This record gives sequence, C-alpha cells and structure tokens, in this order.
Amino acid sequence: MSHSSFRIALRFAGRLLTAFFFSLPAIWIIAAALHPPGTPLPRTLWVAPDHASLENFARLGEYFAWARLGFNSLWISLVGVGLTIVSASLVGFCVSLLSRRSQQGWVILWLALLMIPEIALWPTRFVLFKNLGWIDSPLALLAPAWIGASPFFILIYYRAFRRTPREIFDSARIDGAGILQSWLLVALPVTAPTGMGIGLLSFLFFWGDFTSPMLYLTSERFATLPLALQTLQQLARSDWSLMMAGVTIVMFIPMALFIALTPYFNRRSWGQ
Amino acid sequence: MPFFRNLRQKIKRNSQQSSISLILGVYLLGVSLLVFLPAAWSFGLAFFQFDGLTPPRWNGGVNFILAYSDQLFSLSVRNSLALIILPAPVRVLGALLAARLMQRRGRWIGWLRSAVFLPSAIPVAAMAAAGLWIFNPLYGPVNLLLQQLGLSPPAWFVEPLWAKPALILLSFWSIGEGFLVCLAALQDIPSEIDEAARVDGAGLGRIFVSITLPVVAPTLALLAFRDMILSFHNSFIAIFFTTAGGPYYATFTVTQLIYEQAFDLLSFGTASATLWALYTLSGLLVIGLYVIIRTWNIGITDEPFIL
Repeated sequence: MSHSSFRIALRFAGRLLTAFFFSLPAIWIIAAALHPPGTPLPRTLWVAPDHASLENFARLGEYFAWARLGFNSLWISLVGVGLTIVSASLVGFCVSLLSRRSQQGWVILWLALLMIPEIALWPTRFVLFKNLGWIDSPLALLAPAWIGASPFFILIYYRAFRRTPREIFDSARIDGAGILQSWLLVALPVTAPTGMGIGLLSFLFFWGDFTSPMLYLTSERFATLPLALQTLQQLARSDWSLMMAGVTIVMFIPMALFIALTPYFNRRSWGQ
Repeated sequence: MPFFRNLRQKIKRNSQQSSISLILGVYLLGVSLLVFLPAAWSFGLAFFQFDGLTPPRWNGGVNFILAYSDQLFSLSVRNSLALIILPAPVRVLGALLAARLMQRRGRWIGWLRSAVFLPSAIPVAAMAAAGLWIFNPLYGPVNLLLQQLGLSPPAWFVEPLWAKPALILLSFWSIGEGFLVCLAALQDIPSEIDEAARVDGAGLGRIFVSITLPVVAPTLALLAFRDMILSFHNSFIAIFFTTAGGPYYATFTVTQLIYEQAFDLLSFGTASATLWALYTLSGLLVIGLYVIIRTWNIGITDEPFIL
C-alpha cells in the first residue's frame, strides 16, 4: 500500500517537472516582455522583473501597426477555421460512409499527402497563385482550407466518425435525411469535441502561418501578425524585451484560446 | 406499392451516392489544384529555364548539373540530415515518453497534459524569435541556468559547432501534436494488460518495452515520417529567424537552398531540380508507409486507432 502511494507521489513529481519544463518558454517570454525598457535585463535565474511594466507593448506601435495586423490575423484565421471545419468534416464523413476498400484507399491518399513537404510546393504554387490573381490577396492565405487545411485534420475527423456507432447515421438515413442533413444534424453534433479540437488546431494553423504571407503577399494590406516578427527581428534585434513583447502579442490569442479550452478538453478526456 | 417504395429508396440511395461523389470530387479538385499540379509542375520545370516572368525555355539537364554540382547542395543535404532527419525519431520518442507519463488519471492531469502542449500553441515564427532570446549567450535564460550549474555555456547560434544543437533543443519543446497522437494511441491499450503484467512482476521498463512499444509501433513510425516532413517547414522558419543559415553555413538546409534559388535568384528551374532530392525522400517515405500499412492492415481492419 505504502509502496504504491510512494509510486504515485513519484509519478506526480515527474509529471510536475515535465509540465514545468514545457511551460518554461512561455514563462521566459512573458517575463522578458514585462521588463521595463532601458534597464539592464536580470542576470539571475529569477526571471520575473521587480517592476513589471507594459511599456514595451506601447513601444511596439513604433515598429508596426499591430492593431491592423492583429485584425487581419484574426479574421483570416476565423474564416479559415470555419472553412476547414466544413471541408475536413464533410470529406471525413463522406469517406466514412464508403466501402472498407475505398476507405483504405483514402487513408493511404491522406497519409501520402502528409509526406509531401510544403517547401516542395512553394515555387510552383507561387506561379499558380500569380496566374490565378491570388497574389497579395487573402485567397492565397485561405487556399489550404479548401482541402481541410491538413490531411491530418481530415484523418482525425474520419476517425471520429468511424468510432461513432453506425446505427446513428443509419437511423437518420431511414428518416429520409440526405448526406448534408445527416452531416449537419447528426454527424457534427455527435463529434462536437473533435470539432473543438480541430477548431483549435486549425486556428493555430492559420494564425501561425508565416510562410504563406511572406511568399504570397506583396503589400501590407493583408499582412498578418507573424510578419511583424520579421520586422522586429530586423529593426530591434538586441532590444530583447521589445522583441519578446512582439512575441507575446503573436502568441497571446492562440495560447489564451488553448488555456480557455483546456477545462472543456479535461471534461472529455484528452486525445479521444 | 412495394415496387414504388423500392424505387424511391433506390433513387434516394443514388442521390446519396452522387452527393458523396460530388463532395469528394470538390475535395479532389482542390488537392489536384493545390498539391498535385504544383508538384507535377515543379517536377517538370526542372528541365526548363524559368524566372517566373518570361515563358519557360527548355534547357535539358543543365539545371540538374547546376543544382547537384553546387557545393552548397551536398553541404545542405548533410545539414538537413543532422537538423531534420535524425532528430525526428528522438522527438517522437520524447512525445511517447511524455504521453506515457501523463497516460493514467491523477491529480491535475488535464492541466499537466495541457502544459506539455503549451509550447506547440506558440506559432512557429514566435517560438523561433523567442529562441534568439532563450539561447542568447549573455542574457538568455538557458545560459544563466547553465552558469548556475557551474558550466561555461557556448554562444549557441553564433558558433558553427553549437548552432545545430541549439536549433534541435529549441525544437524539442514543440512536440505537442505527437504527444496528443501518442496519448490517443496509448488510450487504446486496455489498462488490464498493464495490471496483469505488473502482477506478474514486470517492472516499468519491461512493460514499456514489451507491451507499450509494440502496440504503438506503427503510430510511432508514421509520426516519425510526419515529423521529418513537417520539420523541413518548421526548421526553415526557425533558421530564418535565428541563424539565417549561418554561421559559416552550419545551419544551411535544403529548404534554405531551394528558397534562395527560387525566390532570391528567381531560378525556378534550378530550384525544381533541387526539389527532386526532396521528392525522392518523400517517395521513400511513402514506400515505407505502404509497407507499414500492409503489415498492420491499417484502414481495413477494425483497429481502434489510426494516426
């Protein structure tokens, strides 16, 4: 008995230590961002500033219009998430209704698509978007939503639908529901936790996208937040607290969203 | 009457079939336009001289000679091996160990799991910019920590020898996706098996090697492949922010080379010829994948978990 409670305590300590290790980047970034400008950075392990200040965030305005970039990032990400949920779940749902053999074919296709590095598509996608007139347009940033943003998202949805008992869909079909109806009224609601997970992951996908805006945008009109980091890296390279304030701005919304959703995922047992 | 009911059901089923085909058709059209067409195009573009502005001109194998005789090519392949291919299995193993540690319920388990994913919620570009500060030789927290331990830490991104380890260490924080996948794969191992092994006197290490590893092996292999491919992209951004390929080309990877050829030199043909090396790698991975799928029958059996 005492042996097993000792083991549980040991395991808990290991878990705490692991969690602490993975929290370090966020702690370090935010601590540096709150450091008052003009004073030397601490050279001790205790990273929290004595007099925390938000001045760095005010100074960011001198380098880029973060409100406008943030607005662009936000609406492009939200539209991207909406489209991705629709396309990934629809494709996953339709494939889950096919015969076993065709299902395997689709799974192989998705896994193969996962094996194509994005870099392999950059040069010719650039030429393609140019011919389509999508350069310097949000369409170039939103294009991946057409194909579920990532085959990974479709696979997760497909897996969720396959885990759902078939009878639920069959009874909807007997009641005369078409594909779109059973998708909207049955499939999406019963996989709501998966939808939340995909929503979060695809938000991270679009919000964090750095290369698409860098390659396909030519003006500042639709520039998104990650591009601001490039500006900071070039103009304020050794002003660490300013740069970490920029990093904080870029990571704030996805991280806050993730933390806010954690209780939801906790209730529904992770990874299922 | 039954005849009409059958007919109605048949029409209904047919219309269902056709809407499934329509939806999947739209998806396949997107995949063709956004993936297959660009891939095939750059596959062929390797034989042309093309700057993205004037029409492409056939130039035979010149691009291949230009691309593969470039000293930077072999250097960048070696760097990619060290920075992208080799760390992938280690990252996946780390994700599995973290998932194993966080597998069973316990106090605060949800929040502790969420902490492991936390760095992965930071956009890659932000994490890369933060890396410049985290591994800063003078003020960076990593070096302050190492100094407290009595070590004399290196200057990381500034030193040719230490720039690669710094990039790899930075990437070890962002293993959230693999962590979640491993967690889901582990949930499928019934806890009774664990208990039975423990009753029989198996230690933690023995259970991990004899039960956990074999069950999640196909998932791990897929994850490692996936990790390599994703790392081509993520390491590009990390390098773009931290070392820009330096110092002395120590972190110059194939991705950097292709980016320079295509978007700095506007030599899409040479870039495409270099891309052939990447396509070869993708092809090998797809073959490996196919073997895994055949061996474990992924997608047709009733196995509870696929990636």
